[in-house]
Formats: sequence, C-alpha cells, structure tokens
Amino acid sequence: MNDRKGPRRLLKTAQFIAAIAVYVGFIAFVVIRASSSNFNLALIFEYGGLLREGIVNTLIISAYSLLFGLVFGFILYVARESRIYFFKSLANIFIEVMMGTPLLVLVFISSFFIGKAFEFDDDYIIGVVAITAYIGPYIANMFKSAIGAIDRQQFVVMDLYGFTRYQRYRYIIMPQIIRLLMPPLMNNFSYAIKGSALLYVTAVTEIFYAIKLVQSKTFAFTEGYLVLWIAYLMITLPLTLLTKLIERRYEL
Amino acid sequence: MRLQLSGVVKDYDHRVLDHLNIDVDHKSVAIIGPSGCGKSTLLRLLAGIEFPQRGEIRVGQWDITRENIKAYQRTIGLVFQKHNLFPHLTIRRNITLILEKTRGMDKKQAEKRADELIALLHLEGEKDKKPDKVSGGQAQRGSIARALCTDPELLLLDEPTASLDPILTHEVLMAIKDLRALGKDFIFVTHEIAFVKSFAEYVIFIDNGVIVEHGDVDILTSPKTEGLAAFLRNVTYD
Repeated sequence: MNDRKGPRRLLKTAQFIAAIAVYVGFIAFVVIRASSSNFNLALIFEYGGLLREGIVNTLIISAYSLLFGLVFGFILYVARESRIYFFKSLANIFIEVMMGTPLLVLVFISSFFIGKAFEFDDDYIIGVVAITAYIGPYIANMFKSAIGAIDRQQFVVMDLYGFTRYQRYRYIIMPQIIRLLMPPLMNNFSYAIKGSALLYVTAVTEIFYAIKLVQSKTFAFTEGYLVLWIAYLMITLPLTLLTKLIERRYEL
Repeated sequence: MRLQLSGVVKDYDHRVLDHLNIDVDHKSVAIIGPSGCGKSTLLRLLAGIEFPQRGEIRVGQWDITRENIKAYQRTIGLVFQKHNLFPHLTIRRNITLILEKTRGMDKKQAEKRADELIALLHLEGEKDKKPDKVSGGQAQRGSIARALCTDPELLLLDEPTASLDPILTHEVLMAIKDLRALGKDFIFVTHEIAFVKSFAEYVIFIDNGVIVEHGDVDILTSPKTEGLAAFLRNVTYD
C-alpha cells in the first residue's frame, strides 16, 4: 500500500506543476505580445513609501471590516431568527436593502450624507463601517445556511438538557459549522478586501488610491495595475490558505 | 411509574391522537402499533417535546405542562430512532459535556460518570471515537449511555432500533435488557414484538390515533381485539 503512495504523490505534484505552467505560459505570451519598450516597474517603486502606506491601510481596513462584518453578520442572523417581530423586521429590511446596494454608492452616501449628518468625518472609520454593513447580510445568510444544515433533532436534545443559548452556540453549533463556514467566509472576505478599493472615492489612502496617485505622477498605468493586482493576491492567498487549514482542523 | 392520560388530543393538519385515556402503573410500558398510528407522537408528548391540543398527561408525580416542563425534563432520559449524538464530539465527550455544562459537575466527576456508563454499555473501545466512526449499534448504545447520564427516573425510547439492521438491533436490545438492573422506569415505542414480550410488563396498542387495546404483556399471545390480532399477524413471521 505504502509503496504505491509515493508514485501517486509524484504524479499529483507533476500535474500541479503542469497547471502552473499553463498560467505562466499564458502570462509570458501576454507579456511578450503586449508589453511595450517603456514598460518599467521601477517607476512605480520610486513611490515605495506611498505604496507601503496603501497596502498597510488596505490590510487594516480589510481586517477590521472582516472582523466587524463577522460579528455584525451574526447579530443580523440572530435578529432575523428572533421571535420579536421588531428585531426580525429591522434585520430583514436591512438585509433586503443592502443586498441591492452597490458598495460604491454605500461608501459615498456613508461619507457625504450619513457621516455629515452625524458630524463625523473620519473616512477610514466610515469606510470600515460601510464595508461592514455591506458584507453583514451575506455573512448572515452564510450563518443561516450553515446552521440550517444541523439536524433538527440536535436542537431537541439541546432543549431537553436545558443548554443555554450561549452554550448551544459555543459548544454545539459553532464547532460543527466552522468547517461549513470557511468556503463562503473566504468568498465574503475577498469581496471585502477588493471592495475596500472603492474607498478611493472618499480619498482614503488604501492601495488602490495609492496606485492611482502613483499612476498620475508616473503615467505608468500598466505597471500600476500589475502591482495592485499582486498586492491583492498577497492578501487573499494567505487568507485562503488559512481558511483551508481551519477547514481541515474542524473536519468531522 | 404511574402513567395517566385523560382526553389527550393531538392534531397536526389531521388528528394524530384522538382522546386517549389510560391509567396504568408499571415499571416497563411498551407502546406498539403500525407505522403512522401516532405512537411516536405519544412518546414525544410524554417527553414534553410537544404538547397536546387538549387533555392532560401525568407521568409519575408530574403533570406535564409548559410551566414545569424544564423541571420534568431534568428527570427523564430520551433515546431517539437515530442516535442523535453530537457528531463533532466523541461518545465520551457527548456525555461529559452535558454533565459539565447543564448539571454543574466538574470535569473529573463527569468523566468518572461517563466511564461508568460507557462500561455499562460495553463501549470502552469506542468511547474516544466520534459517532460516525463507530457502528450504528455502538452509536445507539452511546446515545443510551448519554440518556442515562443524568440519572433519570424514567427512560423514554422512541423506536431505538428502527434505523438498525437485525444484528445491530439485537445488540442494542440486549443492552437495553441489561438496564433493567438499574431499577429505572421505561416507556418505549418499538416494532420488535419479541423484545416487548421479554421486556415489557404492560402493552398499549395504538391504531389510527386511538388506544385499541391495552393490558399485561399476555395480550400479545392472546389478543382480545381483532385489530391487535391483525397487527401481530403482520409483524411476526414465525
């Protein structure tokens, strides 16, 4: 049995490398055919300080949005499942409206209307709030479908033994759904991270805004977008790996 | 344990239980009847998972009402058709979690109690496995161990072998028989007539939502109603 595993793993690795080669080939083709003689990445990196600030801000904004989005989405889920119709309605209306709201519009309105009304003008915080509000409904739905996958009879057992609401979530529901939550959570995370680019409309110096600045100074548009692309990949790929690890950790 | 039903009615979109009346006092009561007759519904009412639209239920000293249901449920154990163990926990942890979180035991006490029950149900080799890593019979015995962990006075079993093949059924029924020594009261729903004969003191036969016949276990050998006689012909092959 064991001596058959070696070749099989080797074959798998070879296929993985072949898949990588397909993409590398595609990129090489595009680069050779489309790049002009004035392609110069160095231009972009002259503004290293600005880029760093952009990346750090994108990271911070994304991290807070994800964290708050997770909490807020859970609150929305609980409110929607509430027996009190007022809370149910609050959550339902919010979810329905938000599902049809473009993030760009949300960011703009949050800053120029809602922020103004509350005399609050920190566009970083407003940005985090907007993204949190935006992904909350999707995360609420994610909780709903994951918790819906738990056998109803388990809830009967929890009732029978008198588990408190906290104990149900902490010891029985959450450990079972963490694995199920990971793939949709990663989807929402990547929306939030890429969505943070839209904060450029309120002049938040996240990576997209930073790149736009650099581009306007250097006219290196292609180079700028390439760097932007790689910057986002540098954030999302490790997150994907992390969610995969968590998924495996909570396998039944 | 005394079991009293008076005028118990349960409707879903149709009538499931139609004015049940009975007053019996036995340690081990079997509820039998064809599929869909309402026997599992009756057991859910006895467990307080659902409530009747009309009528009163009294089990032992308990009037089963919404007001005292929590207190009553602390005195019973329930075994389902499927094992219903929490799938992410080992068999042992399924037991200790309940004892620690809902009965205020410390970890040591809970583990000691769990290990006693695991030994009682011969699950020593499986206690650290999750439910889907053991056989259906072992999982069901694990759920019986869990039902016993709070030291209930009454154990309710709802077709505990319905999802098992004949060999595993035998294994689980043998395990239940061994529990007689614990001196607890049992009310159970089952199709296993041979098991009823050897384990029950009293039998209630339900058909179409009404109690057609009830009496000592002898009614299975000499039924008085045609309904029970016909049912017994259908479920026994020998």
